[in-house]
Amino acid sequence: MRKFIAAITAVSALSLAGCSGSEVQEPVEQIVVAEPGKAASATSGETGPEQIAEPEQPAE
Amino acid sequence: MSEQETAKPTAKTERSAAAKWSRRGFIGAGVLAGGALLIGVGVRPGNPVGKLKAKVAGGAGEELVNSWVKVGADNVVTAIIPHCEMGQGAHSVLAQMLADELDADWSKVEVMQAPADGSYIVSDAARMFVAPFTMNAADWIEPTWDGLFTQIGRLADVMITGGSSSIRTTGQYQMRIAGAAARKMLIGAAADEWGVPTSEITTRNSTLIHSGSGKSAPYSDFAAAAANQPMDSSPALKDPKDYRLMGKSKRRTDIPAKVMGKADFGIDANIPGVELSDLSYAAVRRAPVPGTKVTSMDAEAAKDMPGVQQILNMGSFIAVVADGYWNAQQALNTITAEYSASESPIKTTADQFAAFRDAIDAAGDDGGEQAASKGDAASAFADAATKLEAEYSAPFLAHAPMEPVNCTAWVRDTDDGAKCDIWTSTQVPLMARSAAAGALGMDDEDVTVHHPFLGGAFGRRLENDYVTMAVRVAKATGYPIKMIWSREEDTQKALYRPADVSRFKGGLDAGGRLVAYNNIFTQRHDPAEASVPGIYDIANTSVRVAEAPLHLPFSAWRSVDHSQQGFFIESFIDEAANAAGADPLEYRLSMLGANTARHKGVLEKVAEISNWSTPRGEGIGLGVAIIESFGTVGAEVIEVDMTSGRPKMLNVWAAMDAGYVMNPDGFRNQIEGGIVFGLTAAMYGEIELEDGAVKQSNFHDYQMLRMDETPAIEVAIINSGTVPIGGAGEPSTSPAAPALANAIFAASGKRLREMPFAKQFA
Amino acid sequence: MIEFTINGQATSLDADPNMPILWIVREKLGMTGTKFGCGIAACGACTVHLDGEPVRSCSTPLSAAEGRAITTIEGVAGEDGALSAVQQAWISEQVPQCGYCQSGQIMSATALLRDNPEPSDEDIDAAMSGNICRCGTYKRIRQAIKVAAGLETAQSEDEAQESAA
Ligand code: FES
Ligand code: FES
Repeated sequence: MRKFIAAITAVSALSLAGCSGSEVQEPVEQIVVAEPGKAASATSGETGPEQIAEPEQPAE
Repeated sequence: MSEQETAKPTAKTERSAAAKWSRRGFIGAGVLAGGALLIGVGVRPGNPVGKLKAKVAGGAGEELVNSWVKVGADNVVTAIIPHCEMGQGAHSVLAQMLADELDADWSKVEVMQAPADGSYIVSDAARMFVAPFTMNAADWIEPTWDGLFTQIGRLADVMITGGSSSIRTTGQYQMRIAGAAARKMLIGAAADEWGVPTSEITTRNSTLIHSGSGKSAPYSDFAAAAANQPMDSSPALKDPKDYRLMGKSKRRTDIPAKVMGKADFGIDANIPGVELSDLSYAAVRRAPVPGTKVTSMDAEAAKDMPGVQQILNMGSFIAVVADGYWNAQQALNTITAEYSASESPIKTTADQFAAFRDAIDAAGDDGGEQAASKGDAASAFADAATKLEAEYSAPFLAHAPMEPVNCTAWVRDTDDGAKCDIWTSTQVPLMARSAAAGALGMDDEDVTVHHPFLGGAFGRRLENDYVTMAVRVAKATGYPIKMIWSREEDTQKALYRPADVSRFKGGLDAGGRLVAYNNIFTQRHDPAEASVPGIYDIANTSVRVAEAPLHLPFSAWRSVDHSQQGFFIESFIDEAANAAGADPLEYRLSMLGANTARHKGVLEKVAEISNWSTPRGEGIGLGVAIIESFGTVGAEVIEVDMTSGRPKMLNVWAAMDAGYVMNPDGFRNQIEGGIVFGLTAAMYGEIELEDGAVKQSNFHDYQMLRMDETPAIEVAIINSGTVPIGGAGEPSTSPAAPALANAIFAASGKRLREMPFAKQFA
Repeated sequence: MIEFTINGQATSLDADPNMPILWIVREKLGMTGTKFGCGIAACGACTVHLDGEPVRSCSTPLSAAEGRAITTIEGVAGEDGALSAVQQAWISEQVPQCGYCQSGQIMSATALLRDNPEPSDEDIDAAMSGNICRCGTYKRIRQAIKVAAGLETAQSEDEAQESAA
């Protein structure tokens, strides 16, 4: 089991390599076309469909 | 009994109560506004948690709290559980264990998923927490416990807990302890009030009863007073004969929401305060060959596509952010790109298999790493009366969980500095947190992981590649994004169950007994024993591993090494049985080594339920395989009809000994699902390489078993009481392929040595 | 403006008529019970009813819904919230594992049983083989369909207690 853990951990460390650590990777190229929040929104009938997903609270 | 998606971090009272008691020690109680009793069980920082600590536990002083239990003023018992629910029933069983010790009214038990933030962390220090408690009855429950969870689930915890299953730990040493401690405190409070000895008070269905005076009261009457009672940090746990809920098939708490479409998975995340219509979505495309980069992209057409907000070249992948996933993906599809050259010499499936065979050839008769050795297998082979040589192979496999990989991320500046929240389906919330923090150059404490239900995982969600991608995009945009991978991306840019080749040279003595077993292959990950035919008494054994390059990145895939080794070994044993002219099931029984009472048990049981010795018709065959994995011994018999020239699976019978099963119906569901998973791989599973990239892309060419091909499945559970314990999620997967191959041989005389099988009957 | 009803509610929406119904329902209407699995009509996770017929919403454009009725998993229970026979059977047979495919499975099964109240195993194969369950709950789906059809009796919680060998 121990070795198993070590192996899995090593692999996961590998999968993180290049993305993690102190080195933050900025985009090589960033093209801004539009700002968010301009999407068409639903205009529904009387009550409108219920929003199902129950939101979590934001982090404090 | 109901399931609530998440514990609301707004429960500030709970927060502060936790902070208080966790400074006091391992277990603590408090009273909440409204008179609810709160019990928390967990561990403090400062324990030696080994090298994983930096990843899983944030900075010093972090509170490591595992489980909370609340006895509400409404007499509802709430279990706040830090484990992921991915279909294995973790939430329900943990609640069963808690409620049983608490003598709670099961109909008034609720389960909440704890968020993976500082105060709820599942800790690898949990192991240290075990120490104060004696095992005794606990030893017996362990199988129960593990019995219900997938080994993948345990792996998830392994990464977090550093060596012991914290699912086991959470239930055995936290939920049960918390339940028993709470019960004792409630009794103490009632005894004080009623002026009777605690020994005269009994409990049942969330009610305190003093039969001498005829008094009784719901727990809620004493919830507040109980918080002032002394806390017993190691209360006596129930003896198995007194279990009321453990060992019973209580219905799962997560199922009602799942049949109403109300269960929230990672992909369903909403961000509080962000209007639905304002949320942005990211579609991504990684460079196609592992290890390569995007060197340039042409995004001219994408700029004019509807809804597009940003187009990003992130180095290793391209992202398009838009007002909806569809628009993002459509725009991404128009982008052309150049990629760096791969340094891997492996371009095709044939290259990969040639690399395996080259490595095995290079190892020769005694090269490579010796994984197991007994007697003198080489000379035993030379002297054998009958010699057998066989080479088997298995391909790369993707996990293909039904919910494609996704992650929602929000990186922002607050008065308190930069913060990040992520919402994702993950088996390892804390690893995800550290991965996000690392990618952002932030501290772990500034990242909050929200982890709702998982739409399948099978090992894929042990990895955090997608988490780092999402937070990097979110950091670049500065506003929240929901990144969703297309199924094509999910199939082609993942981490994979490795392919492999395995060669055998076996020898039988004059009586037909296998006495020489020489085996060499190239992929050994874990568990280490997967490649050792340890259940059999073979006088001379040599198992070696040759080192070979692997083109696609490895990831644990349901049953891990057993997924290939099970096929290799149990096929070869079948070939030996055939060479000996013996019945394959009888042969296995005759070859079993020491300490194999459970193996004998499952073989005999599966023979019985499959009517093994009753001859089938022409063209119909039975195949058997037995594998011990993750503490469970499982034997499967498959009945296949070859009369059409193609395999048609009729029946699967499985006999499983996990020691003790906590929830038989939940266990069966896991075994059934594991068999289908194994048969899918056996019949269809294959990821191929073309120009260094994955060829398969979606369910049309990476096929799954469907309703019309799924055989009838019958599962027999054997509660041998053996400890330590066995898992449920993985042990039934690996016997499926060899049992099917052996059945096809029995029915048709065709021996399949390569997975997958279906294409060999085109 | 595209007009349609969704789970009985008249709705009009100013949206791209080419956008698949899946994304309209999930992202514009906030009903996330309908799931994305493959995007190419190969898995059934996104199954909804269009005028009662099961369709793969990932591959059906919004324009196809003009003037028609969409029913999603959120609309399967009665108006009073009472679960349908299919949903109840899904609970009694404890069908879901991860649950991700099950909205689609239930939509396919609901359509099957409406057209064919007593389906044979072959009918079930034909109606349900478009829906993948990666967790492998097919055996239970088959059983639950038979229970919902009244062809088999539901497993009660107590019956499921039967002890192991
Ligand atoms: S997502 Fe529509 S069929 Fe798979
Ligand atoms: S229950 Fe998980 S995919 Fe069907």
